[in-house]
Amino acid sequence: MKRPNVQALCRIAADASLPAQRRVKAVEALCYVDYDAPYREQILPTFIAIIDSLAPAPLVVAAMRAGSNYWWQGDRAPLRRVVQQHFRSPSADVAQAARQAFIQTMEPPPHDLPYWSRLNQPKARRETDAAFLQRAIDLARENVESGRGGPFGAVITHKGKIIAEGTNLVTLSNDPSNHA
Amino acid sequence: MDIREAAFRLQCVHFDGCVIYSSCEPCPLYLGAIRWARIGKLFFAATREDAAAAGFDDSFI
Repeated sequence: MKRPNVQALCRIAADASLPAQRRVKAVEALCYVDYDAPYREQILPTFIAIIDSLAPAPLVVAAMRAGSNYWWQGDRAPLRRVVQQHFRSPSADVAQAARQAFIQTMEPPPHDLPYWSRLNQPKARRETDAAFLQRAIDLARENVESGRGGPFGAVITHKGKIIAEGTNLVTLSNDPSNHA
Repeated sequence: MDIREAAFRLQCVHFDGCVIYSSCEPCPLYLGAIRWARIGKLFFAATREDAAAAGFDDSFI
């Protein structure tokens, strides 16, 4: 498959003088580029600039959907910050996409996990059990303090390492089954 | 949410040998999900009675 020209697509996506339709197409094409580091450094700032600007609603929605595709790599704090501004957007589409993107940017990336999740010590089994349980309790507490949902958190481990963490997002995602 | 994420990371639907740690005893919905995912071990902190006392009662299910 031919690789897309990332620079050209970024330029089209960022160019406010072009019609919104064309910029949406460019953003959607960027969403499928390989997530290599050099590309990511060009693509994510482009998306963030679009979400942060007063771009037309379909363009903002496209940028939020595509930007959240990159959630498992790099620093997602800037994306999260600009996405939050759209929670109370007058356009229902934008508000909905912002909530979805925010939930996706909240998923913990592997390198954000606490140091003891990388340890694999069968001898200290009881201590790690207590630590993982404490982590679930901490997640529940953080979840209430940040107002994302109910006081519930969970951690899944495999061979002594955390592979997933979750919290209750019922009120944030308006999903009655999103318990933890 | 976390079971979905784990399934995505491990690229499988059955988690034999996995352990789940939860801040509270799972509701019937999530107990079902844990059983379907075949997660072998579950640790939880608060009980369902604690949750009911805090206003999250699932005994009607």
